[in-house]
Amino acid sequence: MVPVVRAGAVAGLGALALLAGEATAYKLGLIAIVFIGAIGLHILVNWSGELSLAHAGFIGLPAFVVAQLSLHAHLSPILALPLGVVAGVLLGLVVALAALRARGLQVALVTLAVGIAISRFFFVRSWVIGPPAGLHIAPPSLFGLRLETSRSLLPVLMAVVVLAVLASRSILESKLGRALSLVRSNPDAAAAVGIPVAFYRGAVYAMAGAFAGLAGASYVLWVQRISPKAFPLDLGFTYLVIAVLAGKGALTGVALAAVLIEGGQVFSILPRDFALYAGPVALIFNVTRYQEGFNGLLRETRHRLERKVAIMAAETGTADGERRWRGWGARGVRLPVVIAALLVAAGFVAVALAWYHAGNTDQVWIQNQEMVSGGIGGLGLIVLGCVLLLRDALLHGRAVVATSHTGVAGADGDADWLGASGPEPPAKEPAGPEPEGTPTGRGRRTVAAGSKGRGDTR
Amino acid sequence: MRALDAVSLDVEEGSVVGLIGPNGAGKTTLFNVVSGLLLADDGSVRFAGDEIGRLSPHRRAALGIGRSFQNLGLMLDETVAFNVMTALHRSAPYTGPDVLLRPWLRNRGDRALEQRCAWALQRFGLLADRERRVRDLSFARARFAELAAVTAEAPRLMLLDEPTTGLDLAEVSRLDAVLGQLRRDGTTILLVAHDVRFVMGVCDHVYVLAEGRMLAQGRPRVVQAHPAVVEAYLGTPARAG
Repeated sequence: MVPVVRAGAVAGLGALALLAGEATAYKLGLIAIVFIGAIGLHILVNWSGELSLAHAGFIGLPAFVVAQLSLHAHLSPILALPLGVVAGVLLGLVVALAALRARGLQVALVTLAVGIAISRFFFVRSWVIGPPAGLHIAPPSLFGLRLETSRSLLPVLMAVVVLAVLASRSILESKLGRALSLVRSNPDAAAAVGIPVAFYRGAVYAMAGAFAGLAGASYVLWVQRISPKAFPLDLGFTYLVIAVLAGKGALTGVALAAVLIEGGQVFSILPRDFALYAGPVALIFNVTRYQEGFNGLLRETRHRLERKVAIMAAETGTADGERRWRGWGARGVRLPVVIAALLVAAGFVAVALAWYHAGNTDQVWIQNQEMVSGGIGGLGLIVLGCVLLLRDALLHGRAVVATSHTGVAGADGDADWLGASGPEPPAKEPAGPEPEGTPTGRGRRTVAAGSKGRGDTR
Repeated sequence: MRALDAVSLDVEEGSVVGLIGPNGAGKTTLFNVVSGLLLADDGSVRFAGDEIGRLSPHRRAALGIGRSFQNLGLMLDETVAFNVMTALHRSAPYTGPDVLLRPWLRNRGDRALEQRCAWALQRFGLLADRERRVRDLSFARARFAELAAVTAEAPRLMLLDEPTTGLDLAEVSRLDAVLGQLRRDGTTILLVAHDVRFVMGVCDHVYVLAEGRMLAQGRPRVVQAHPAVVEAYLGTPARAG
């Protein structure tokens, strides 16, 4: 189910992007490039527990390498993309050499120093950055085909994004990703199962460099004029914010964070400097309160949905709701809920389309039409869907409680051993109603059938 | 200060050897020296006839030395299956570059690993918990998950640091059965445990360590009766029972 939804969403977004006008296509491309660069930092920060504050340099220097090459060697920047990757890997290895000798806070300082060194040493040399106005390269061509507009370049950039996504997924879902996460959480255990810890810590900087280099080269391809102003030192912090907001897990979180931070900026949906102020606030919240980021949020939502469907299935008499959910067997899911969910989704789509069209025209009468049909109609759909959902929850909610506890709440086990809830030995207390006012820590939840709470206890 | 001083220990191939001693005796330090997490100031570590005292830990793992940790060498936020798959790092039938260059090898290889993972989990009755996070398991089950991860790799020598801590009687007897099976498969086991009765029951040979020195060694029965041991560690026989 989830892969289908994800593939559908990606295909839909791709199709929408291809329909976009020139200016929109250009902005979408900028977001895609930030996404590629953020993948590298995602692997580095979220999967390996390393840190790099030099990401702006990681992206900028390969960009200049590619730009200079395509200027002087008359190489199409599309064909120079691999060179950007190579430059990024080399840069990553240099940083790795320095970072491997340090730990924790020192790594941050080392990478910050590297970032400053790149911007103070390379980004002022004319043999790197060209004339003060910046480097201008000719529009890229591919096999004799000149791709002058952003719209014509968009398929190329999409192919690059797909390649980057496939490569990073391949890395993260293989023994490499698993090794990286064990190195992050327990280096001793990693060494004991035969993972060369130092090698992996170095390699992950090279990987981050590779994705950053790809992002830099794509930037040259996309913008076709670059100056050091495009890679200020604080760009590295923006990338760090994106990575931390994404949290450990899949690339969906990275994409969401990139769209939020970079998209908010280029489309000016969010006020100017929103990222500047909201980014750090979100970062603090993320680090202190909820460390899982967008990926954690998505995971939780998914678990909740699966649980909910399991409850619904239990109620309709099918024993194994989980299986039905995966197979999307319609019997486990009640029709009104599906309709309501579709209504809400359609409402949001209508609002988004109206928003988009209204923003792209200066004809007031079109804007008015959009506001009525899309805005009010969309809101109506959302309200209707929510009412249906609420009605369903009220009608079926109570009936479900009794059946759900046996199947669902029992799945939590006795996870007391992490010391979350006081000095008691691993949960041996008799099942029964808990007195009001008892501190309910992790795992100390003895569910009293029907008294409070539904099966959904996360 | 020396955590270990003039300690010598022999583990015969195919045997189960126990190491007991009061807290702070240096048992875990000894484990760290054998598995390579600590380098001894002097002395030697020999494995299957070869000196390995200067090798890095991952090279020792490659020779076939696996170990568990007193406070779980697992990722608590990951699932049981993910942890076991991670422990199978060396067994993955593809190299790092293959991941990008020949992804089909990765797909096939990981499917083979999943089977081995299932087999290892089966042994400890953990198949039903494979998709649950370690954090959500009881301590005993998490401990079994770690043992499953260590045994999945089928090491020649297995170092088990306090495998019985936090286990109830039924679970200890399950562990006992699995260790017996491993021994029949030819695995050599060196274990540290507080549960003296368990050690005496399962081991062929027992070493007693106290304050970094070897106090006594021999067959379980002999050690149990050794006056120095009785005095330093076990107390009177009644208390030991």
